[in-house]
Amino acid sequence: MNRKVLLVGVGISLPLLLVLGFAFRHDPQIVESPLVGKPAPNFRLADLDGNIVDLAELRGRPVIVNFWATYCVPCWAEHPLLLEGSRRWQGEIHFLGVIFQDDPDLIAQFTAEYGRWGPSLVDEGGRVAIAYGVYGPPETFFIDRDGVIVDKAIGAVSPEQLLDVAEGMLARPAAATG
Amino acid sequence: MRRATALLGLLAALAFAAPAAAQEPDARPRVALPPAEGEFRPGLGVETSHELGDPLGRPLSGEELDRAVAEVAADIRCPKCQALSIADSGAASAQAMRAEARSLLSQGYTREQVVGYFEQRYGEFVLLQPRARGLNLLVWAAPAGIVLLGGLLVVVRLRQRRRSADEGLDTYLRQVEQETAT
Repeated sequence: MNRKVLLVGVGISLPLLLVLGFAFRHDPQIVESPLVGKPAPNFRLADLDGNIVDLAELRGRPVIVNFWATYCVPCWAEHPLLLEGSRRWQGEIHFLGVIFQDDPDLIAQFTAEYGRWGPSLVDEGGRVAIAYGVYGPPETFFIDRDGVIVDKAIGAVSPEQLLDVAEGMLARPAAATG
Repeated sequence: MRRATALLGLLAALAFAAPAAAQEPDARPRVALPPAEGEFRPGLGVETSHELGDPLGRPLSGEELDRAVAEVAADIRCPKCQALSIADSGAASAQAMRAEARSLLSQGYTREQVVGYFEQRYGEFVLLQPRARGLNLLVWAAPAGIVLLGGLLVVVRLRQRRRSADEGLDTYLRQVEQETAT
């Protein structure tokens, strides 16, 4: 009888433990983007000075698109890293910021005070954020020379990820030019 | 070696700029851009047409459009909320997604196309009711399976108990018959 109880107990608890073990391997806060490996949605947005940036026109050079806002503390934390990255890869990688539900005046004040690593683009109606499936700022998309999203950072991007992905994108020539 | 130097440079940028970055932005007011309902500046925005394909329905308007938007919104999870649909949330992201759904439905995209578009962008997590396929089938099958298993266990235990009760009664009757015969 004890053996039967043990078997039933194991039969019930083992699948539960397996499910929990599988679930705990992933951070529940992180939802994998289905866009990695796919072409980046094309956008055409104005920056704070009214200059138009068309993503399609930047093809041939890697692009780092960062969705950010001044109310987002991790965005503040990663700001110096993006500044350093934009200096390090100046002329090699485009750095674009897309304002996520924030006041452009606050963005202008922030960049005037702490520096600017790229144009801050105004996403009217948040349509670009939807097209990129952004859950909340900051999220960073790494787009290679062919316009394909090769990686994504959720939360503040780490120096290791920035370096590895940026150098990986630079090392790979565009498919069209071979 | 080159990678280590570069990494050190990036880490130094973070370390030296830390005092500025560590300041809480609480002194600044939080202002969310109100999403435009269907109207966007011409020439600006994002290209979605090649991802959605051609509209498979007819353009909706008026009450029919409102109904369709409400139906789609009820199925889509608000990305900034806990288990709330974009229909039930007042978050700016939910408002923007409702506006996007309205815009697409008014262009003739079907409800399935619109829901599929959000799923393509955010992943299946954005669907409040996961699709019944693959591992998700467990969600539907597991409760029914557990109820069936439980029922089966109850039937087996009842039969076992009845059998042992019958056996006990037979022994008793035999004993009575033996005693009355002598």
